Amino acid sequence: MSSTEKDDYDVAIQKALKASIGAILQMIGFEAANPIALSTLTEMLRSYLTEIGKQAKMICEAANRTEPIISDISLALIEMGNDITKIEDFSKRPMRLVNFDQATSTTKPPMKTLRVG
Amino acid sequence: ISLDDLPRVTGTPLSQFAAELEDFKPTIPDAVTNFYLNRAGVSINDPRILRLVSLASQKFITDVCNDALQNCKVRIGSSSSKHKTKEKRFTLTLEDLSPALSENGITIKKPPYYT
Repeated sequence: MSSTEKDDYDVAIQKALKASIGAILQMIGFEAANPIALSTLTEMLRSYLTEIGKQAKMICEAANRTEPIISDISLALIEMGNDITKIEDFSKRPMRLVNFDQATSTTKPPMKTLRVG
Repeated sequence: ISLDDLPRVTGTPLSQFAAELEDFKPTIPDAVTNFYLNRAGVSINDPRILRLVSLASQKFITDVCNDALQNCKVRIGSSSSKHKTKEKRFTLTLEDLSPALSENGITIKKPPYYT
């Protein structure tokens, strides 16, 4: 992957992240957003996602695995102060706005991890 | 203390919830979640895990923004007597967002040179 190609992907991901924030705000009932507030939220979502990743990595490596399983993630979420049952209830709310059609968006193949054990 | 007083740890089993996530479409796309999880050093191939992470993050943002919306409504309600003509549009501002965030233990400050 060339460096410009990688940069393009980074920019696209950041745009998608911002669009997701916009969709969430719209769902709640906001009609407009201050750019500073919007970028603050985007930055927070970014660090939240990374934090979940870090926690999940720690937990799954403590269990001698290289790839996290569902229970690792849920443990990571509990560690961060979430209530899994509330997340479940949240997923069952009637109103939902889908930002991108997941069928058309292709997930990049993940990089190979060094398998241990 | 009886068992019913303790917080509910499990509702439906996690495996069942995971199966429901299979055809769930979160607002945050899978590719975005995967990208940031990769940055943290985990590789995930299971879309259900990505959906769970997306869902949790979405809930976090939704909770914060809901608080901000309440703040916004209160502010508009209290000032409407003075500016009757001003249209009621809900705009997300840092003014509403920072109290909502400080409830979650996050302090944000505007740089002093911003107006």
